[in-house]
Amino acid sequence: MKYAWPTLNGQVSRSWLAMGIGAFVVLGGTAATAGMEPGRFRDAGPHLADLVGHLLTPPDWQFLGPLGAGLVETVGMAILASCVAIVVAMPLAILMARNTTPWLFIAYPLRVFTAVLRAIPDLLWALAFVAAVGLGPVPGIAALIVTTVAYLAKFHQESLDVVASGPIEGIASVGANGLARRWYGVLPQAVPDLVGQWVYSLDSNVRAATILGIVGAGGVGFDLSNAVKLQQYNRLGPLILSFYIIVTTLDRVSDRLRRRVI
Amino acid sequence: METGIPPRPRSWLPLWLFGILLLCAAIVWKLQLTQFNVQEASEDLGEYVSRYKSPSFQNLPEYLRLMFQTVAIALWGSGIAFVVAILSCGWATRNLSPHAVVYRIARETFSFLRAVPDLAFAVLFIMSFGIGPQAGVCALALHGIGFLGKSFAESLERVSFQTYEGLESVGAHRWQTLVFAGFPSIQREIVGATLYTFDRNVRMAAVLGIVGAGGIGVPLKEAVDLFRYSDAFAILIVILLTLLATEFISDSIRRRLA
Repeated sequence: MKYAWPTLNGQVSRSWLAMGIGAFVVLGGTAATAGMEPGRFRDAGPHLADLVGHLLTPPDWQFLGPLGAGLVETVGMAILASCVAIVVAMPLAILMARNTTPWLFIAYPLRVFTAVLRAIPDLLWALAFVAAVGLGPVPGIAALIVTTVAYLAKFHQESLDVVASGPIEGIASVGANGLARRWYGVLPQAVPDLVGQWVYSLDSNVRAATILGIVGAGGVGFDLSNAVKLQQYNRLGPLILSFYIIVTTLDRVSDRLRRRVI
Repeated sequence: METGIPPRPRSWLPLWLFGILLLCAAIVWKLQLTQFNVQEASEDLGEYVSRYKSPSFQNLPEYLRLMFQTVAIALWGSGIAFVVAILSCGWATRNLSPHAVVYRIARETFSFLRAVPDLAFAVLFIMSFGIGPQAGVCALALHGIGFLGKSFAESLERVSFQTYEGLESVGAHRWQTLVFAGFPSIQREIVGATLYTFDRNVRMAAVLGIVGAGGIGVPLKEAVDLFRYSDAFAILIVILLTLLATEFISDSIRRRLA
């Protein structure tokens, strides 16, 4: 035998084989539904080449000013939404965590409530808020706040739940009341986790904010959908490039922030 | 010194808080949010929510068909992303890459694909494929290749170098090292990241229809645009139940593997 798989008997493991076949069957069965017809792709070939051509055309230099303004708006929306969401999510998480909630009977309904909020994608919130209060960054910020609160509350709750009970008992043994137990016993243990989650929320909000504009909820996505609709192809290149630059810069900044805290 | 208590360590927290508050104020001023009337907006919002009175499930078979299409789009997007990412992640791993230049190029390609939002890809692909699920699949696949490729490569770099050395010392080729030492060591990470991608893709596929890229988002956008609120309500319920179900399924798979 020339090759042997790194399993006990040198054969491909049964479960991996089963997973491979399962994936093949599922993808084969859904191919028609997902529109995976070779003809469609053959027809799209020349159009795809056109698209690459559009992306590589010399950029529209006049557009750099509005693009900058759009990017500032995008990042501003994300920062504002993250700050508000953190302030709202913190008390929610304290109410939801097993070891910090004053009343357990309120913890479980809140968990279900945030799970439902979490299930609705931010773009749907944005769509609804735009319909309700009109175009602009405000519905976008509101949509980001709702989704961010929903998942931050869950992440925070999980970090609070796993805190060691020793320090809390220690503080309780010298007569600390409920608030002091939570402030000096629970929170300091969870802070590194929480800060990591805050940085993550900023990261994901900037990503989300770039596309909210497609439904008119402010930010640079509005410019993208306009450029496509009005066939201003020389704007596409700068737009896509700016997504890349802004997200990778943010990745680096948030990596550094996280490393400082943890 | 009478007391043995050391001095309180200096805290930078107030400074940080002040800075963040200042930043927020600057943003509020820059985006001209002060002109926004909160009371009016909340009244508008209440009025808007009140329009979603009773869901109408008349077109339920159609919604279920499109929801199935949504899941199919997510499956295909994740499947393509997985295959391409697993085949190419070796190039983006520092210690398995054939050359430093290949490593840089592969890494930057992955971060580029990951940085561009899938919805932006979808908007662009609709120009090539026209309205339909193909644009959605391609958008999810491209973004997924970036995400999965980067996370596989990072997991491969975290594997202890002795694992690779063991195979290299008996003369294994780069590919053999990757397949027989790399992948077995990061099985769990591979499954976790792929499940996460699928989860995320179902959520994204549900909204891709807003830009015309197939799935349940198409009738939703139509219903909202045409003020057919009871239809929109029914579609929202279908989406919500599906997303909760996929989250539950992938959670239970994850728990069984962990």
